[in-house]
Amino acid sequence: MKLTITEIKIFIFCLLNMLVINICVAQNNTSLNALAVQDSLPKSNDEILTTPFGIFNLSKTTAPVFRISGDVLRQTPGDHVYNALRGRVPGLRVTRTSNTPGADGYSISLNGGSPTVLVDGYPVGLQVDLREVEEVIVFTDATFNSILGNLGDNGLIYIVTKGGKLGKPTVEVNYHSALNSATRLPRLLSASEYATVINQASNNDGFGDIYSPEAIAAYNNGSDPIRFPNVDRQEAYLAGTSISNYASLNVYGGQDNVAYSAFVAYSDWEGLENVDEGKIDGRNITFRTKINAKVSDIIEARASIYGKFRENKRPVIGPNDTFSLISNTPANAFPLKVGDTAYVVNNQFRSNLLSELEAGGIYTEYDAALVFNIGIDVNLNKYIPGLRYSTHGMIRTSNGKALFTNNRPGLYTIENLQDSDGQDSLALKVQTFDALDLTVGRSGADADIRKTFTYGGYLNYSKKMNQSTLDLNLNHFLFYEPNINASQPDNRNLTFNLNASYALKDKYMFYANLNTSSSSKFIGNNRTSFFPTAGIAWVASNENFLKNSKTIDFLKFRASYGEIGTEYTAETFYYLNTWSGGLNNNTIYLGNANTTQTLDFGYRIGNIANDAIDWIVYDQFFAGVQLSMLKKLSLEVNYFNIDINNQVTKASALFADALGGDAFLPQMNFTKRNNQGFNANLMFNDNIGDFKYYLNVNAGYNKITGETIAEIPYPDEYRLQQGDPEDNFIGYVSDGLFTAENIGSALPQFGDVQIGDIKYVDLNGDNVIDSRDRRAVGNTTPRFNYGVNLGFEYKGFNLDVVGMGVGGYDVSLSGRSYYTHYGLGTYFASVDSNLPNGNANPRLSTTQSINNYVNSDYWLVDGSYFRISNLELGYTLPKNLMDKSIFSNVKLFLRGSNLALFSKFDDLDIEDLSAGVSEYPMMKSFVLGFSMDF
Amino acid sequence: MAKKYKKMKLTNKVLTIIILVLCLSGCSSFFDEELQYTHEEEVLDSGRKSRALIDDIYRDYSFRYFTDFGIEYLTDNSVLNSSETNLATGYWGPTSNPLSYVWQQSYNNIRVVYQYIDLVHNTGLPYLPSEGSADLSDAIVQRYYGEAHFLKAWAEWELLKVFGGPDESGNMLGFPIVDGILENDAYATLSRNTFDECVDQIMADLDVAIDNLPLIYTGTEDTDAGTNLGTAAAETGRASGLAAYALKAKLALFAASPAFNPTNDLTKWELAANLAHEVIELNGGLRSLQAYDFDRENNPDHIWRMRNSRNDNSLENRLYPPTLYGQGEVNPSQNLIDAFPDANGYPINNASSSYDANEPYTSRDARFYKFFFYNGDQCFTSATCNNYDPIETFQGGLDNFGGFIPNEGTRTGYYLKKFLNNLNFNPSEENRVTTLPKVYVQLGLTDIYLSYAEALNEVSGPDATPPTGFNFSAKDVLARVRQRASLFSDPYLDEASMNQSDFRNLVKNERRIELCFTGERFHDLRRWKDITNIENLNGVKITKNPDDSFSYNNIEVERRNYETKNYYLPLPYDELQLNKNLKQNQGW
Repeated sequence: MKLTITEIKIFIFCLLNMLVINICVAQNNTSLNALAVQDSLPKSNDEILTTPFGIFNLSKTTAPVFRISGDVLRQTPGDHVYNALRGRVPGLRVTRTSNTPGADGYSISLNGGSPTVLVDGYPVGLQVDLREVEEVIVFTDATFNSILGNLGDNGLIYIVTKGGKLGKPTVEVNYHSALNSATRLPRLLSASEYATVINQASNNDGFGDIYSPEAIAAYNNGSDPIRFPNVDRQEAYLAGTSISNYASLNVYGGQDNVAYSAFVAYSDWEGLENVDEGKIDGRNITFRTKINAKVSDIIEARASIYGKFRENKRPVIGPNDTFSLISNTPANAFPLKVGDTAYVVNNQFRSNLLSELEAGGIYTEYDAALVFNIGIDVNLNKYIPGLRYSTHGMIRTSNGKALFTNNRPGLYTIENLQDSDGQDSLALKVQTFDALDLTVGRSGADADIRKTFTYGGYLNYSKKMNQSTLDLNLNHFLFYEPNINASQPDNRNLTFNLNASYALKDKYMFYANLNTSSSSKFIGNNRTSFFPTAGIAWVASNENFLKNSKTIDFLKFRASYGEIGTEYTAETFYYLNTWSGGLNNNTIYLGNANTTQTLDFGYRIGNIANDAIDWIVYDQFFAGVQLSMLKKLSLEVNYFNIDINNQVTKASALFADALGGDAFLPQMNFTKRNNQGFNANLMFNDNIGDFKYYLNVNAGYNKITGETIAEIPYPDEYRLQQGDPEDNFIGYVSDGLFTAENIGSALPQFGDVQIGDIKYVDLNGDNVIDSRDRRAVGNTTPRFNYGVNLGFEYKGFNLDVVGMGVGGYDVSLSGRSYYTHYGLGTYFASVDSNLPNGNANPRLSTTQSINNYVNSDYWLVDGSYFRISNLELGYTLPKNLMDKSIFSNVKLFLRGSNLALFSKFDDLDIEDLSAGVSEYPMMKSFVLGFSMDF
Repeated sequence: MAKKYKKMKLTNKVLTIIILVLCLSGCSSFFDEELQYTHEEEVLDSGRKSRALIDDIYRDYSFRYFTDFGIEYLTDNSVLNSSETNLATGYWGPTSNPLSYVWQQSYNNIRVVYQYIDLVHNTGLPYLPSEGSADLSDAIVQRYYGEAHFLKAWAEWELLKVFGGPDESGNMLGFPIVDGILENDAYATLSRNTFDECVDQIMADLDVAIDNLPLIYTGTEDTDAGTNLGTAAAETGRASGLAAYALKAKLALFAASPAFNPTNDLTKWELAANLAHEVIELNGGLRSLQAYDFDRENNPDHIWRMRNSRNDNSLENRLYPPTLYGQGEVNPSQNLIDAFPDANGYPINNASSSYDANEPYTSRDARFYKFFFYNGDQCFTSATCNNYDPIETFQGGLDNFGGFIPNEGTRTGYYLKKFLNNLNFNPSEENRVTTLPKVYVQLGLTDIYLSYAEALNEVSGPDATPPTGFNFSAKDVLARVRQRASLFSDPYLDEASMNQSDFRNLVKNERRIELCFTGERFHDLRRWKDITNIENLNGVKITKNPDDSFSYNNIEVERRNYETKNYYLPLPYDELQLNKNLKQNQGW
């Protein structure tokens, strides 16, 4: 329904501009006062949300709105908002992707897309601390998404911070300390177990034993720890626990036309390494101050500053390398040290973690992020009742720098020599000379400072009539994010919205928004586009036939449909012909010994222009129902159907390769996807006398389908993916391992197969196994996620438990070193057990079998899991006790996170299968702390 | 109040101005970002930069030793030490062709050539803008025009070599000839030209190249004297006239071969012999071959070669055996070792051979010592010097699995030494940088000599007086190849030259030895229709006896399994799904 006629667009665009300007200019025109009707102040039971892009009455909205208070979220250990949101928001899946202490290792997905985080309405990323959160509001539908234009494609997480309101001064103090330990660590092999496995692999290939029985015995009895070491590397390098601390102070309140808040928080952390010199050790400080001052009856000014400073000391080798070295170095590889000074390695495993941790040098990272906000609110009530104007600007900067000394300790290999008497003796041979870094290295340049600028404002008009209310917002919002890579485009967006909410008798609600979005990524007529949104809601419980119902307290039906336009992300503008240079820089040499030159200025086409490149449009349809019953039970269900149109691709699968490289194809709007699903939230709370309890279950389901995709028109129907889920995992269908009985009838597949290799199914019946026998054998994105929250409160005690889970997807173990065993390198203890899906390990071999490691369902495991993510046991001191002190609210608590995990994986943490193997492990924490207000 | 009012008014004005500025002027310029990309005009309007379109094509053919080794694993010459070669051991289907990348790469380069001709050459853009440099500029523009045609011919040659073959009904086809830039959609409607049309096309492109290129690059450029303009030795590595002649000879031999010449049309062999003869004559007659020297940058036998950076030691790191701190990636087969004659030039199974199976590495052809690391080897050139500790590929030895680097070893008992000339750095030092240059030979004189010998033998036999128009016999030329391996007195060559068939086998064996690990053998086996006959790939299991002597037992390392369809290779499966006009080769 996008309007494409230029004239109309320009006309409306100008009209909107002129409206903004004229209204601003006309503000003092008293004759407008004549239009003022009645009181424009909302009633007290209205839920007003003042945002940088308008003022909205959430109680009269047509949108699904999920709200959760900061106090509830703060029952979680630590300072990270994402961690606190785990399992609490319907349709929101929070996954840990990295567990390095002090690092941000979360990814979030809302109804299958990646939402934009707004802090007090500003798109600054997650520049917020859990301990300053007043409330988190999750907007999922076009009603609000459309207002953010380009940023609103996948929903909004709107975080409101504390303070900035008039009220009595409040001081909040919070402290807790956490004891962290790994949830799971990979099982490693002892030296003799490792040697046995290596012998087995070598013998399978006919190369004979690599380790003699004597050596294996020596590994076992520890008689010669230098020549036959048996080092448990987890024990050698890892402490069982680490400690982190969190403290915060929050002061806010306001009177006499000034509202203020000051928040400061401190967190620290340490690593699991048990070598002091090489232990991760870091801290950060976060602060936010806000001030709102009434300059006059009409003008209110506000400003806020947020800052976060982080310092993190770590060994020069990165934290993930630490765990890779622990996991990948076998127990028998080398003794860590000979004598006091000589670090040992061997020719196969050339890194000694101990040397790196003890003497490899320190790498200290310094990161800073700052957000500045200023704004002016103009209350024009005096002239036109209900009219307000607000404008604001925001600057965000962040950068990271590091100082380091990269020392390289000397490393030695152990050589067996024969002395003059023919006796065996040991000698150390230098493998790496030590080198001390005498200068302090520095990383991060000034050019790396990331910046975001926004400038916006709105004109709001609220009018309350006898039977109805009307809210109008006209806003503009400019977003500018210079790219730190000079050759890439910036993000430059400008959005205007005109929206109206109309509620009749609190029963019928209507909403409409007209969005115009402009982006530098498009040219000509496509640069600015219009995207309309409309919503409707019916509060049935306000109708006469339900008004006096004893069972139904509240019943609301609503639906919304809107278009949201987003731009493409790319390294260049797709509407330009660009060339790339220097592809063969210094790779081609001409001439001979004395006369040489390099061809260092090769050029080839980089991008073929497509003037017609246009917006990617999300057609978002949401419908939902909200029901409260018996004052105890409330239920909300939302269905969504989102068409994602015009996604940009080269569609090279549709073109013959004979045209040359992909570079000769322009990018075009082609792909269409559909995202369908629902989310639901059920809340039950009740009390038996003083015993109050609740149970909350929330769930989200979604599936993204490729409706129009570029694919090669294969004759085998089962290979075609158009119309199928886009996260399909394409692979061969396995049929167990070859046995002595069926190896004789093996079809040709991937080279010579032997007993113990994986057998595949010939799908097209042509008696050979090749890429035509692949099909979708699983899917890789969770379709389903859910949370269970339950708890009670009794005489000041509270227990709150949060569980979260995901389901409906498969994980492929192919390519995961912990589960794929071959070669003469690293093996894990998992070599002796079946795969988590019950399949046996294929034949061990010194070479990597091509047959066994092609993508197939043999390696697929159901990735579902459920974990007790957070738990709090608290005690709040009785109120009457507090009345006499200066304290108003004192609470002691014991918390835990990641306490239990249920999945098909016994050894590793399914949420992040690299955790503990090649990354920091997932952490389980026990926390003791208190909070007090006064 | 009045004051406040004024203030407010001011604020309003400011606001109004901000909005006005933003919306009226800002909107238009805010979105026009001066992005630092390379504009089209910057490239196409610059005399020098625009020529970089051609320079860029060389990148695809630059340093492809590792690609060549991959093709070598498909033959009976070698295996990779860490993985089997599944296509050589079992089924090879139409969807799995390790060479299918040649399709897109070649057509891409042909398109770039036409891009250059249309957008740069035909506009008459000089290389240098100044009037005074017109001579130099013209010479360089002409050279680039010749290079463009040579590179196009090379891309076409690769297409023909990989995808040429008969369709279902036996018509010998080549590839779809593209002589211009088509609409993107049109490439899905191309159909294959006949094999002969393709040969003619390549020959024609090479003739244009010959007309515009210097025969060789030599001397230094002197702009004042006007000599060697754009053709100095410093340009060695670019396409040359001699390279174009050599490619013509190579193409003709390919087209005359049994797989592509089913009726054994002798005129095709004669053409091949003629074209090889032409190269030899243009090169100054039948000269001795230069000594093996893979780091020599000015070797005149290297008709077209690319060279690598001087500080690149990737070849050493990947090929050296474990005790030289390498990964021992390429493991030559016992079959290949056995193809090397004894020190007198006799095949090791010949009755006159001095070969002793208990001492298999003594008294062998000089090339054997030059090309392989073997058990007890200590030297880069001969059996009797001492560059490094003896290589231990016996069971339990340091250069085998569980040895010096426990996870590295050889599956066959050998490592590849060819291309590595000298231990000019100490691999046990931390900083194992070599400064030896390395050249990658695309077209070499050895290849031309062997082609001549092969073709002329088919025309008129090995040792007859050369036919009219030929100045040397097949035997004469092959003798030069064997002489480089120190076989000056060569009774076996005399013996084999007695009849055409023995000589043919000898040429094939010499070709296998001389051109091993250059990616030639796989295509040779196909064009000779010999690929179905190759034997399973063997290695040697060496046992060290208590008296420090060794026992050698051949072991089978990998099966080799090819069908007659493997004479030809499949066209890319995906391309056939899109383009219904393309006919697949027979058997696929």
